[in-house]
Amino acid sequence: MKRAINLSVNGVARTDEVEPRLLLVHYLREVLGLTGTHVGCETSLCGACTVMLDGQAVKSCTMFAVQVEGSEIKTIEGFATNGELHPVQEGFWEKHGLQCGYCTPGMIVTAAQLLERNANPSREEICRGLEGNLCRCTGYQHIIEAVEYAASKTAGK
Amino acid sequence: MPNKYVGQPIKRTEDPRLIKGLAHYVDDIKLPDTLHVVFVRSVYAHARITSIDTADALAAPGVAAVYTGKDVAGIGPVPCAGALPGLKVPDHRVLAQDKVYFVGHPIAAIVATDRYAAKDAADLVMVDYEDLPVVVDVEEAANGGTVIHESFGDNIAYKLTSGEGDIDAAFASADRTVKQRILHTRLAPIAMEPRGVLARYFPGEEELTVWSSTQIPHLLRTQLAIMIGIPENKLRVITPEVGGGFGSKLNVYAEEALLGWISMQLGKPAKWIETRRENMQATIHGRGQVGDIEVAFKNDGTLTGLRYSVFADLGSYHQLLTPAIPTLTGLMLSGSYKIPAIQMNVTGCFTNKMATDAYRGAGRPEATYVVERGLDLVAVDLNMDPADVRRKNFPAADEFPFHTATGLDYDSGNYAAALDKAQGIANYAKLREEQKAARAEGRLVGIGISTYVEICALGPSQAMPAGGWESATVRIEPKGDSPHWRFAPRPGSGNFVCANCCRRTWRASQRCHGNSRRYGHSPIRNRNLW
Repeated sequence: MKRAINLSVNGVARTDEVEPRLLLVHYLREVLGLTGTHVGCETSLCGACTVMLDGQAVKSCTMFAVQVEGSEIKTIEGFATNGELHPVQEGFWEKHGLQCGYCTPGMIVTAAQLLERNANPSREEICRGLEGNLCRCTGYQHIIEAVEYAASKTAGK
Repeated sequence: MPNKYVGQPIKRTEDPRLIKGLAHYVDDIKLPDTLHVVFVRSVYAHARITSIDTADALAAPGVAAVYTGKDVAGIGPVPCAGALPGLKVPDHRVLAQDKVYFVGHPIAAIVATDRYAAKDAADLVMVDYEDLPVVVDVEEAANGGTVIHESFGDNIAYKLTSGEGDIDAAFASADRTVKQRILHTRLAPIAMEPRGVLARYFPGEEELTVWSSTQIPHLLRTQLAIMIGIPENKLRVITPEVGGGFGSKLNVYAEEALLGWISMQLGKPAKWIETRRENMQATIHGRGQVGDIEVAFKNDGTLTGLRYSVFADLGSYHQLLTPAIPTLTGLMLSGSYKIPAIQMNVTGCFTNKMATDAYRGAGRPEATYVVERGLDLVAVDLNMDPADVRRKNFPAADEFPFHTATGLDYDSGNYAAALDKAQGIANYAKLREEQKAARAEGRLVGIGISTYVEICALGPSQAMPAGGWESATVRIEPKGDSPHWRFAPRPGSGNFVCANCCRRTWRASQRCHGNSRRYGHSPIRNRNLW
């Protein structure tokens, strides 16, 4: 039996009828067509599915869509505003923080939350903040530099 | 030619779509009326299938079709391109026939209107198994373990001896020898994006398009055309964004052929996205060698011979390059050193596991481990500094081109100078002093040294007669733009050389990658950074 959910995704109000077992990531990808949120492990380990839920980075592969009733969600598609990249997105581009790009949306969401909580993190704090997100290509060094770039860019504004 | 791009830091043109979440990996491509496929896979590593009851699954909501081994016996076998003398090649069908050989072996394909419905129905398929003794240890497989493919009589897929020089004389004349067992642990490659396939057949045009998260769209097109039985010019393979491969997508998989065939049967697009559990079980694994190294050397540390006798854990079937991977180890066993005699003895064995195949270096890092471990053993045996043992055995700069006892010719190099430089940068002498001081305090500090030489971008040659060509076309459009079309996929690498050669701006060097309409090869072994 389907249930109605009401929420806001990237600033747009949504009302949809969903099966109670529908995973949040499948709701975003299949129902709303927001395919920037990726599925990597299905078990909350890799972080590729990370989205912002009421200001908190969460892994959408292990949440049900019905759990986010009344919430505000921001996906990777909501990070660039008016054609301008979010500082973290800019950092990933400038510092070669990605190769295949599959983990990147989740990394960006998590890094954005990290910087909201700590505007000037040390390398160790960045590593700790990103430990729930896995990358197989880069070896992480450029990702850390991307976050550092975003921090200094934001501080300079 | 002025070098504006190669080796220069540059912002990649593909990044904006990737960092905005707007890029398309296979599962991001949506076609109307797409059917979703879920596989029923073996929970046993070795068993006889006594019955499969699909009636409940077929009656489940949303189910369009259920296929088992007997339905797809006509699809050609999953191909193996490793043509070794006397190689035993099991008949590798796209779904299990009467037996299952590894956990994850696909048994049935469920096709339904969405993936939840397909998964529900998959749970309703009743498979009865008669479990059989399992062989997971490669040495047990070689030495009297339960025979996996009964018609072969044993589990030895092939035996191969390679190398040059008089290995027996090398050991007979040596001052000293060392021997060591070494393991190259079997592992799962785990690309962040699992495999996935979307297939769409147009019955009127008789054209099949297959989108696959693959590293080899062109080879895949040729092989799928053979497997499915469709003219190659009616089949198009498209590789969209690929979320990492590491060799695991350098293959031709049963699911790719099945999805194409299912779309042809039902006249609708069909999609399968691998789960992580499937990825661990039924995407190729890497490494899996258990061997013994023996090194013969003189009292001054000069090597006279190296022997590596290894059991290669191939798994139950050959995938595309499975049996060939250990032969790449054999090619690289000389490492960066002059070793007058080298012998590699490979015993490739069937085990009740998924196949091993190309993973990150594909047999070559194994060789580095063998030869470097061997040199460390020599250093310990002679109480020599491991860097000095290495320096002692380098070919001198004026000895290049240098022929190795594995049959290769190294064209150029100055290894001693490179090691001197590395030791200088690392301040090696000081590190050794610090190590000594630390140990005096009871702290254990290790310093590891390894040199590395690799055969890359394998092209047609005596050492690798498997072909391997690329094509690329640069076209000037009527409007004057110059899009660069190249035809190998992009699992994370970039596009540098074309912009340089064409003296175009980086941005103008856009390209369409991973499209099988023009023949090419792959990004394997770092060959496509252009």
